[in-house]
Amino acid sequence: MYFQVKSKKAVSVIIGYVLLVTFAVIIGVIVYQWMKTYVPQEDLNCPDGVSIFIEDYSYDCSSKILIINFKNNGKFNIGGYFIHATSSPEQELATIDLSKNNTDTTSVIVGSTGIKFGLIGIDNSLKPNDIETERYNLTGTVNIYSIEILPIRWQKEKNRNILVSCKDTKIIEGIECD
Amino acid sequence: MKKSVKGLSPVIATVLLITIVIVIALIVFLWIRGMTEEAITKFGNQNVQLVCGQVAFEASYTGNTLYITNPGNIPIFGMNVKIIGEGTHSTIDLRTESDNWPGMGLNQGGAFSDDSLSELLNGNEIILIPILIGESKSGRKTYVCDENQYGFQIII
Repeated sequence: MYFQVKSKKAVSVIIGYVLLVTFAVIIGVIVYQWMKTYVPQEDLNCPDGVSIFIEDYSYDCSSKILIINFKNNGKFNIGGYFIHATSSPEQELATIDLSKNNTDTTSVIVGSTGIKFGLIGIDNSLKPNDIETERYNLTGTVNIYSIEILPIRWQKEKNRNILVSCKDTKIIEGIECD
Repeated sequence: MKKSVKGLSPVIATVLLITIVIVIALIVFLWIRGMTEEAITKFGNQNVQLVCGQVAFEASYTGNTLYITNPGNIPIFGMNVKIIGEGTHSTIDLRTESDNWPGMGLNQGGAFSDDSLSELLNGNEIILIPILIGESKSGRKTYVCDENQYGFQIII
């Protein structure tokens, strides 16, 4: 006479499946958290077509007053610029920050060294074909030989208004006394 | 007829199996986590290694003066300068070696110059390697970008 032993193996298989799926999900979540930091994002840059140039300037070496007329000859509005100068003809990169020497009442310093066209509250106020005059009093600074202008714009990135420097549209202008 | 007590053993075996699997899984997880580098992120969720590729700085060395400008949009927290001479090389950190290096780093549009870095005269070439700062689970951390990919070479 045989007594059939009831098999209890069915419970272990279900637990095995549950554990397998659980571990797979947990490992997937861990790998996702780690890998999502490696997803490349688009570089911050100004749109192609941003352009500014110095229509003319005047520099009185005795009074050290520099007046620059900027013109937006691009397709997009410009918010402001960084300005640096060189102190010798051999200097390749301009590193003397002139932003603190700006005497325009309508211009505002933004960040630590940027000059904003127009008043706070109006981003990118220099429209295409607009001309903006900027004045600098360079008393107390060394003699300058050239200036480097780097335009900046306020752009919306991920629902935030951030300052973007247009590194591909930098301009250099040699400065001579009147 | 003797009553079989084997009914308890499969249950205990299953519980033991599950417990052992969970313990082994935990041990493996903790071991692997200890082997991987903690991710340093910048701008919220971007790995700092990727941000190194967006750094854009310019540098030159003329008249015994080192000039560095940052026309890009990524603040450069620090700068390593690898000085390569005849059969020798050394590395200095501008944050500690130069009084002119800005305390919070070279921001957007920032500029740096220093004519007192006499160590640079010992080399034939220098390589500038940007250092960024980012967030990790254990706080703010600096990250030195890869020299081969992002180093800027200047022949002296």
